[in-house]
Amino acid sequence: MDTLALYLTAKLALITTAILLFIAMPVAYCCAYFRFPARPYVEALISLPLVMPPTVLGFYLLIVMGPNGGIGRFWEHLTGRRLCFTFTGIVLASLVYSFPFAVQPLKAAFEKIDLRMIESAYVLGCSRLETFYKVIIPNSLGGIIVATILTFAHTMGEFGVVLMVGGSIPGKTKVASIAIYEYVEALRYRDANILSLALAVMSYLVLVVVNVLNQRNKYGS
Amino acid sequence: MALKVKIFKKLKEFDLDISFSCSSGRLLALVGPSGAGKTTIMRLIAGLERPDRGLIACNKSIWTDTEKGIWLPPQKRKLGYVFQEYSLFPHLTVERNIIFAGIDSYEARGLMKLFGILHLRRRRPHQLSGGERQRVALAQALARKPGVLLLDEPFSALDVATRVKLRNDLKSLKNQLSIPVILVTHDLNEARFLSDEILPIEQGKKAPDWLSRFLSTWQSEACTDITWCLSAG
Repeated sequence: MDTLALYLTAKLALITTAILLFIAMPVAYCCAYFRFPARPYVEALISLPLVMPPTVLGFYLLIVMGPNGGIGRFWEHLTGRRLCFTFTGIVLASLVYSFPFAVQPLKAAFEKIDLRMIESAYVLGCSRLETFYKVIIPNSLGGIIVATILTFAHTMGEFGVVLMVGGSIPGKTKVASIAIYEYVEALRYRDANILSLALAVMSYLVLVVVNVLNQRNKYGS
Repeated sequence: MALKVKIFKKLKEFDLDISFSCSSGRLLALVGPSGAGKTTIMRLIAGLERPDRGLIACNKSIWTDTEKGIWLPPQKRKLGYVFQEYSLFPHLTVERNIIFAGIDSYEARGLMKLFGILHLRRRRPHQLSGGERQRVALAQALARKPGVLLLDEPFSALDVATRVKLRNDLKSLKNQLSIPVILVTHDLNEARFLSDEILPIEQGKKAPDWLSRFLSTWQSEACTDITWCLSAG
């Protein structure tokens, strides 16, 4: 079994999920609570990876992250290294690809919180930031968990975008889904089957862990 | 300590244009039909909404003065606000809800004793009855050490027996408080029982005639709820 590809997949999913939750929370907060004229355009942009074919998204990412693209050039200038066909490159691509899967559940959870509860926190002296982490976050645990599951699972199964931006370099960018595809191409069905099963079990275990955490965090209804 | 309010705000259906004051230790009841602008007045006092023009001052502190461009956010206005419901934080215990207002656990204990809710301190809001919840909400509002206490229909979601009990408690509490208290209610019985002054409001303005009109209907005694009386003609 290609354990290296499995390890790389888990690493990619974990890093992407951690970074995305951090970035998606303030974005979801702004979309849930601020009314600004450009909001429909910003929201459409956030949701774009949901409807865009992964290969198309991967192609554009390849262009901007390539040595002649804006992000690629900036990265090379900053670190002296290329961004495409590296692990950092596929993390960045995954961040874009999975972004709506983190933002949407968080936004829905934030919108569900009664405005009076937030106003009550303001009247009791809490700033917007304090209200965010003392009231909004603890009352959005369900949404945070859903965002975590979706982002993690979505990144685990990523294929098109990673293939376009990262190629298939063993130990660097060859994640499990790409390894499975290559096994099938080489008619190595047994290896493809083992890796697929491992991926399925891993996904299931993630869901179990998250559900257990969810049960513990429930404070009744 | 006294609260002075003089506000104008253009609303969808009418213009809110009202002025009143309430001195320390007194309770002013704002009464009127639904949609008269009572809750908007409370929100303007709390800083949750901004008036188009006006002045809101508590003692020597100016909270809103549109002429001078002064507007303090709700966080900087020392006031207690009891909402009809939903003001407690469901993820916190009763004790943590009260401490949330910025006091220590020792002070919180004192307040819980005063409101007879010490035995509930480890419970969460969903484990409380409606009456218990509103007691906690009152304790939480007073934990802020407010300069003004705003009560926006605090008893309307409760059953009659609990309502009467809490009303009596609030009456005795009011006598101990040395701050202005503003109460919004539909219930004229409640307003008459609790308040030192009643301010009738209709379409965002003072409506003394409306009250006398209403009171003549109210003489029947069976009619204590304003909305009901109005619909009854």
